[in-house]
Amino acid sequence: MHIDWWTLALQTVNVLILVWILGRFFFRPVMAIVAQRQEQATKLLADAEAARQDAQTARGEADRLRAEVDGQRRTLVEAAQEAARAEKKTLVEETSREIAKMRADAAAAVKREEEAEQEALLQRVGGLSVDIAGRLLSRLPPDVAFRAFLDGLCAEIRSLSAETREDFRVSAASGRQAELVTAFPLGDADRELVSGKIAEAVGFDLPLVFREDAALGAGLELRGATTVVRNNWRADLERIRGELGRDRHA
Amino acid sequence: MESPLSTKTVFSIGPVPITQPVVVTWGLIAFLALAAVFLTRRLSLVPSRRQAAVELVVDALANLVRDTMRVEPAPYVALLGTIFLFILTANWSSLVPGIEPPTAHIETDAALAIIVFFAVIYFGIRAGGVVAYLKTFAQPTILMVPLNVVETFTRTFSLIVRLFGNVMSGVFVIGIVLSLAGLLVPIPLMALDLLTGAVQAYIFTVLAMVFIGGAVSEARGSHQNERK
Repeated sequence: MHIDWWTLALQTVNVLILVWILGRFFFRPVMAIVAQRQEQATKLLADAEAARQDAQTARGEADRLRAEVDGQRRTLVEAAQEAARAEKKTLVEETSREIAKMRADAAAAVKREEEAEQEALLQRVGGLSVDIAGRLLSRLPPDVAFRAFLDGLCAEIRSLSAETREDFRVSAASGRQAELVTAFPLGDADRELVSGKIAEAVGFDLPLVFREDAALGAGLELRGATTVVRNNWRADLERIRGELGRDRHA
Repeated sequence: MESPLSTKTVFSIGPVPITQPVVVTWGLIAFLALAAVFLTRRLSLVPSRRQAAVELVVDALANLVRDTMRVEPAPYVALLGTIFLFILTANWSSLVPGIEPPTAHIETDAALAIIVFFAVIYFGIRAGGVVAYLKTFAQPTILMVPLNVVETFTRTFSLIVRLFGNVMSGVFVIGIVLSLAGLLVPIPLMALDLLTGAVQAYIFTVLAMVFIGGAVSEARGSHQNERK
């Protein structure tokens, strides 16, 4: 077996050259691109991990802010509810007071209106009574009614105290004559009758000045300087009205 | 029929005879260089199909180096990858009519084995230094130094003989069959020769990895023991 040393040497050099060529133009570029891709993938993964960490941090911060906002919202809502409750209470109290005041005013107005209506009713009743009495009186003989009122007047005079009756005398003596007011003019006979009856009642002669006042309705009225003695329908109606008013106020 | 053990001189450059294996090797170098340039001319981070296939091959080779040698493959891929590709293309060059594979001649196999022999020494020294590398011959005891030295040469010789014997025998058998039988009879043997060629390329490369890896790991271990 023969070994060609030149061939051995040349083949050794050839293989070494091939090692250099393939290493330079094949293996190194391919491994470099693979390493570069791996490096980029690693970098991308690191970036993704960093982005994930940032996102987690941001999410934590957002959660914290959301919780803070929720807390503030709850506080504001509770404060608003408390203010609304207080406002409602104030409004209810004011409204209650106004309602009570309006109710009291309404009650007073109703009371005043009722009183006015009753007053008007009494006026109408009084007027109606006077009309009725006048119509009834007109059916009686005038002298009968007159004499009845005259007797009543005399009885009233007699019921006066002695001092009061004496006042009539004193007044007459001082020139202030007593007036006898009737609802219609009296004739001489009636005047004489009246003067006699009154003198008898007061116990002395009392000069009278006769006057007429249709408003009396019927009856007489003796007016002294300090004392008035009435016995007529107007006086009676006023007394009745006064009695009715007292009963209503009682 | 010519003897497979003889080398035919194609031409001479002065006193240097340029034999047929050398010429075929030059052709293979040109082919592999052009293929390398073609395959790596437009590499990008978003790979094309061709680039993906190339990366797959290189990545598989790197993983083989990593798994076999238990080291980072970058410094070793160029040498071991080139040995594999050269032996593979050299073995398969027998398919081209009139071409005799360079690995069927012992000079080519010896050249490859010599390169592996010096690569073992280079990477061993590079890993742990000269002293640490020399100390690996005294492992596990100093009595093993003669045996380890002899083993260094014998395993290189075994690389030569294994590759030469397998490839040369294939070529020899095909030549005999071709001379005895018709034109199509050797085709199954040629297919078998393809398989044998690939297997031999793989075996030679893996053995080179084992030898270099052993030297590197032992030198590193020895170096670390020195530092302790």
